[in-house]
Amino acid sequence: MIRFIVSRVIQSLLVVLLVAAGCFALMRSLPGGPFDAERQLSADIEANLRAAYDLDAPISSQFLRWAEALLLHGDFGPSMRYRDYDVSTILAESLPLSLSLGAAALGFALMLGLTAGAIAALNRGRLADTAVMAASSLGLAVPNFVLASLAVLLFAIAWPLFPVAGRGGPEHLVLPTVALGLPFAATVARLFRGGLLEVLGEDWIRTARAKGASPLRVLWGHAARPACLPVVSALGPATAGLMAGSLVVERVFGLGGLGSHFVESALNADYNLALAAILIYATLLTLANLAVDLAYGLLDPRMGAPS
Amino acid sequence: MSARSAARVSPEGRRLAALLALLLLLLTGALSLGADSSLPRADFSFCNQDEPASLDPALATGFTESRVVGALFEGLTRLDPKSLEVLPGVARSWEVSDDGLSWSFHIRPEARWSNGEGLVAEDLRWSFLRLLAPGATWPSGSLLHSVVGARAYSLPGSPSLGDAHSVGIAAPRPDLLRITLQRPNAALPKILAAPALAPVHRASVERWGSAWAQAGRMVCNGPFTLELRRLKDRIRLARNPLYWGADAVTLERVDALTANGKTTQLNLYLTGAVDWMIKPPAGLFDELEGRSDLIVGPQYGSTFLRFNVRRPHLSDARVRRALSLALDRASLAHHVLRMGHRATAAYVPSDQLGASPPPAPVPDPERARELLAQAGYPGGAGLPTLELLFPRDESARDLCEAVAETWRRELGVNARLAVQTRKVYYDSSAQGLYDVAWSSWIGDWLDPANFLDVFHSRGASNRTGWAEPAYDELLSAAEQANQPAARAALLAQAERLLLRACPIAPIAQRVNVNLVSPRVTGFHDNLLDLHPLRDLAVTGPPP
Repeated sequence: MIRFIVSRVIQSLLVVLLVAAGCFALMRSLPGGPFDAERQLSADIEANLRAAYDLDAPISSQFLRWAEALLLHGDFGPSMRYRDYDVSTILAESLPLSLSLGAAALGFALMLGLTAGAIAALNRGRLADTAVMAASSLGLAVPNFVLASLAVLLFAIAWPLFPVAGRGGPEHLVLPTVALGLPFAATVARLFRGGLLEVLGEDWIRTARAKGASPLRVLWGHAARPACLPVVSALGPATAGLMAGSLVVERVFGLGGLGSHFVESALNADYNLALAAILIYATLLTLANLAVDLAYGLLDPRMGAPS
Repeated sequence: MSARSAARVSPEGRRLAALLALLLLLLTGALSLGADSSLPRADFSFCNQDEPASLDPALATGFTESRVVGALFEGLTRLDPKSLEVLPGVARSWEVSDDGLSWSFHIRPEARWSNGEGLVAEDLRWSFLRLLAPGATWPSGSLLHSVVGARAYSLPGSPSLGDAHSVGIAAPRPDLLRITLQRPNAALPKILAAPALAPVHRASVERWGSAWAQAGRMVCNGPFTLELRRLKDRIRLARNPLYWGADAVTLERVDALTANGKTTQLNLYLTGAVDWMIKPPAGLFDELEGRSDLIVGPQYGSTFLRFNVRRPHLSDARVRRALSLALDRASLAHHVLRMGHRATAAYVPSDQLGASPPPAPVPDPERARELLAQAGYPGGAGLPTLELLFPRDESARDLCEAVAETWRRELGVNARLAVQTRKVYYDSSAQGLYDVAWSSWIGDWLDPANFLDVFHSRGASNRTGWAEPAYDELLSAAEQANQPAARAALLAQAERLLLRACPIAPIAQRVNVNLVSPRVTGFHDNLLDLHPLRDLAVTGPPP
């Protein structure tokens, strides 16, 4: 088990390093640099800037210096768009917001999705099942910018329960959490319903029922664990996606989390910030996938502990 | 619940309850961790379009930066938002020598930094030299290039590189700053009102380096101080009691919000969360038009098309003129750009706020077809499809679609639309990777040279490849003219030459569009869209 974890961590580090090197080279080779503007800078000012941000050196030595600063000092370098900030400060301000929002959305999505999926499975073919499935189809089909805008329209403007946008107390995060979590809740509901239906048809479930187990015991004592497997598979990428922030939701609700930096730093050619955002996403993704692999063994004894 | 009844709950029920409690804990815990401290509402809040690139005056070149930097710092002079006339700032008065070259600025004895230190002429001298220093990474130094020795001070390879004594900026006394120009320039006091030319506190800059412009570190001299900056959320300003004109400042606290979605900004405005929003979404102009809180007026800026004259088929001025003549500017302004845009065939915008606009130029597709035929492309035959480049922007897209359709319909010329993100668009147009490009330019102060200098053959922002020695000479002659009238005539002549050669096709004068809550007073529409927070006030509590 420990060997498995160690080897996976090493693999993950390699993946993250490869992603960093690839993105580092890709970003610098794309058209549009950090200092391009309507008012073109004079050649000497641009040369000074390129020297100040180490952009005038060969790309390989730029990468080595960048990697050295990151690995030895944990320094992502200065932001080229927000000139009063270095990237680490920007991450320290934006990452906690995105992580909290992502965790809240995940909690919300699992609560809603698992409950709805269980209701649908237990009422297979009945009205409740149809309603849950229709709602989840809608949740999957409606893009989250529509969902977010609709939430603002209904619960901030028409019925002003929550603030329209901006940061502040927990009430500022309620609508973003719902908008971010609903599509994943829909996925969870469908996957859990599917998983439950498959498991509830098994012989050992029939045996449990014949022995007089209550529906609740059958559901949570016997069926839920194996039925969770598809949900757990989807949880890895979804966790990374939710935690790294969502451009759309953060933009609609005016939250400056990592999600908005993720896309805007690429558009602004803010190389250091974009690279940091990518690295965080890649790290979250590999960690979440590792956690999923470990959880598989715990949930399904037939699979055994990974080795 | 008694112990007996607790025992009755099955293990599955307990597990279910535990799972739900765990998820609930995750949800609420995360919500409360992600929440920020709730700030009391500011007296006045506005949406500042985007997050400023920096709060260092040296980098205050855009509207987004200038709105905040202009509130934190004050230069030698400032502009009256009502008339755009020059008012005293840190300098209480100034005079110029008879030859128009030597300017003396008298620093106010009551001018103070926000840490209580007195502000003296040397602070300004040091700040100006900082902008000009060799190796400087800010563009604003060029504002001072008319000062004796300024250019040579920073120019690599120049004999006076880095020699501060060669620069015509001196502080002989704490209350006197002397600036010596190469040539007379009556506009100097206006130029000195630019937020980029405000003084910075030397000790803070030297202590904190590039991170000096942050809350808790910044020492400033303007009507407000920096209380808080939350990146991509808000910049909170507090009234500076040490500002020399603090009595005239009525706002105690101001929030500059940086929600950068237009719809989000409009929602904040419509729900009363902010008192001022700039440029509402173009798609909603029709719905907003007619509102009493909508303030629309001409801006000192132009929207135009650039032609890449390095392309063989666009090197012929007749082709460019044909493309320009075919455009129905009045229709483009009224139906496509909307919201009070003024159609114009002039490149330099009108500097009269209230003046009725000149009659919209009439399109002449007949003449355009003739010119195209003379150039060897009758009915557009043989002319390659033109790539019409524009940045990701709703209004630019609408305009380019209409232009392409006009050329197809009137001239038989095909244009392919090419949209790029801002940075890529700037890069492509700078490198000449386009045929025709949507463009716009906004003047820093009311001076035609602000616009005409762009198309100097060595202009960094020229981008068309057009170079005309006669045009360059006219600009040089205007720069050296001593009399304002002679200068204006030379600049007008340069503009006529530019429009005849047609490396650009002007379309409309830009507009300011502001939504301002009725509780705000002191907000005056002006050509520079300049609204100093110092002069704003609010009546009554926020809605």
